[in-house]
Amino acid sequence: MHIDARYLDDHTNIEGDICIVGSGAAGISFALEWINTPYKVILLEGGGFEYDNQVQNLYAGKNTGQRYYPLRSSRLHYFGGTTNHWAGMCSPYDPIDFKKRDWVPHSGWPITRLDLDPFYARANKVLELGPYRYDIEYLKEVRPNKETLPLDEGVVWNKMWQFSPPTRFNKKYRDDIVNAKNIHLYTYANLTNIIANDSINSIDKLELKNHANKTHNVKAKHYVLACGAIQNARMLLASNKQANKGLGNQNDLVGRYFMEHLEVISAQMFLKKPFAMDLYGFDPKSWTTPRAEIGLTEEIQEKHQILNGTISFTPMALTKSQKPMIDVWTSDDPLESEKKLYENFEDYDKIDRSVKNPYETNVFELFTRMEQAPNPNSRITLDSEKDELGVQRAKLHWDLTELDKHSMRKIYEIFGEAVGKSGIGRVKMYDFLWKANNSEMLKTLGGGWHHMGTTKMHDDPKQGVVDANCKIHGLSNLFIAGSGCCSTAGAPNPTLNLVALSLRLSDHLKTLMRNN
Amino acid sequence: MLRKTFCEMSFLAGLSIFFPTVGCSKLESSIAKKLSLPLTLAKINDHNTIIDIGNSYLDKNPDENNQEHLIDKLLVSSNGGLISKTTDSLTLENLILKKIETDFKNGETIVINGWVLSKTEARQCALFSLTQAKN
Repeated sequence: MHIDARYLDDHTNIEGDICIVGSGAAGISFALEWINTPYKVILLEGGGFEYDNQVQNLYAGKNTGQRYYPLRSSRLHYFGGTTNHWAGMCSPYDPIDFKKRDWVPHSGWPITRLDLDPFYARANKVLELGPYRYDIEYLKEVRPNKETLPLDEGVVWNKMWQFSPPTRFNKKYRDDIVNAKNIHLYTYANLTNIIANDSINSIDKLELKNHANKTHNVKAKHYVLACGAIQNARMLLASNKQANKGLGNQNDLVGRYFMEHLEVISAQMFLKKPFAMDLYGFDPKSWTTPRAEIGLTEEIQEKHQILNGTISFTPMALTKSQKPMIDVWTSDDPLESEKKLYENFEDYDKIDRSVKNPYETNVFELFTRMEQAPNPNSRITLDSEKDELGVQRAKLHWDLTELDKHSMRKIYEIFGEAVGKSGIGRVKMYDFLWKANNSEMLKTLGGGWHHMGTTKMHDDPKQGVVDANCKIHGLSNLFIAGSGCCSTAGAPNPTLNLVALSLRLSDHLKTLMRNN
Repeated sequence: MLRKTFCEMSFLAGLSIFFPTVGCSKLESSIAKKLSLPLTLAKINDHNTIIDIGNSYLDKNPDENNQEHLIDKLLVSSNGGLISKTTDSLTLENLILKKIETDFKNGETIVINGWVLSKTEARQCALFSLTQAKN
């Protein structure tokens, strides 16, 4: 069922069992699980079914610290959220990503990879991926007669990626949601305030507003914030009329540990003779064909005290005129930035693949995809400026540490050694990696538009905002769905992980509802 | 490049085989030429890059800025034994390749101008740069 909140009577009171705020990958994945259950589910979306400039403007904010994309264009604010233009790269987090690592401050999740495995398998279906297999044997089944790089398996491993079509949640799941009798989707229903009870230990109701000057309230038994890591933190901090530091922020942790993936072209690999790197490249025949990247084994990460990351390979011929993404995605307008991003990959289209396989060559550009070390100083706070609906805007201070730079350099030293040892060629790092010191980070370093952390998961309320069930510490009925719960960023892109976390939360809330 | 540079360098190294050495200085000169060919790098790099790597290595390791010292270091085989200066070129080439492989296995590597190299081949570049400076 769909209701446009602009056309409701002002001050409408909406009631349900569960209220989900946000209809992106996390919110919709969650809502789908509740179709045909005996519960009334309220699903709130700030925008409509199409891009709306006025609504998108609510995401504008300020950036300080390490250079980053404009906040206004780094998410999409309508039904389907950022899945409306995501690329579809999926891989589960590695077991090490969940572990407490002595050399990575603030690392360690209260759950393990094994806890998430069944949910990754379910998330694979939601995202229209293949079977839940991310082993190299599966990749070789899918792409037979292709070889992996002959490198020491004690040092490196082949991390596999699957590709979603990519699933556009707006198109794929809109009818399922709208036609479900017990799912009440409200569009143009922007959360502007979270109101707790007098004791501030549970949520009483939510306040909603829209550009039609309507204000409504929602009351539910349980509330799930699924607005993305920046917006979730912003709304908790901005709901500060009862608790002056914001809700769930009694330990000053909300908004901290903002994490991204550090993505940057970093080095070149020169091979003595051409090698067909098809297993590591995009399949021109099908976007969804899996491929691999090179990661470092757990043992090597521990030995060298470095973060987790992967290396991808692109023939130099395909990258010669490519600019760094941080120099391309500069417009506040997400549609304009997206257009420039595609133009940046024009070289791919110019290659005549019928003449020669572009992946069979001997010089490759190496691209890093690495987790950012959890850092309390990398954070979302509130700006003094308010948006059109009266909510203080978000301010991002993206802050990197020496461990980030050290790890990136070390990854290439180790990979370079592995390539040298195998006798196939040599690796050359780009200047920023070997010339500058550890505290200096490249200006052309970008992120993957992957917002993580800000409501970090930890069993101890003094070290995290949510517990292992994604419930906010100190508030009995407020939960976070999505990548904001990540304790560490992991090496892979976050979508598969955030959908898995969302499905796990859904199961937990079903159990709670049944028991109540 | 690279083929041209590789051929040039191979030629320089090869010359030493055909011109018999008479005195000690000629022997030193001959062995320097034979040792100063970093085979893998020569396949993927041009002449000037190898000289740049060599110069950067010498800047980082000023105590090695000496042809005889570099030759002595290079003439230690991967198992620690000494390689004779009169070893023929092909055998020498194989011994150095083995030494480079062992360097990589043992983590005896160095980053020079961004290149992840075995210490042996970095010294070869240094020797190459010194021999070129003399020519």
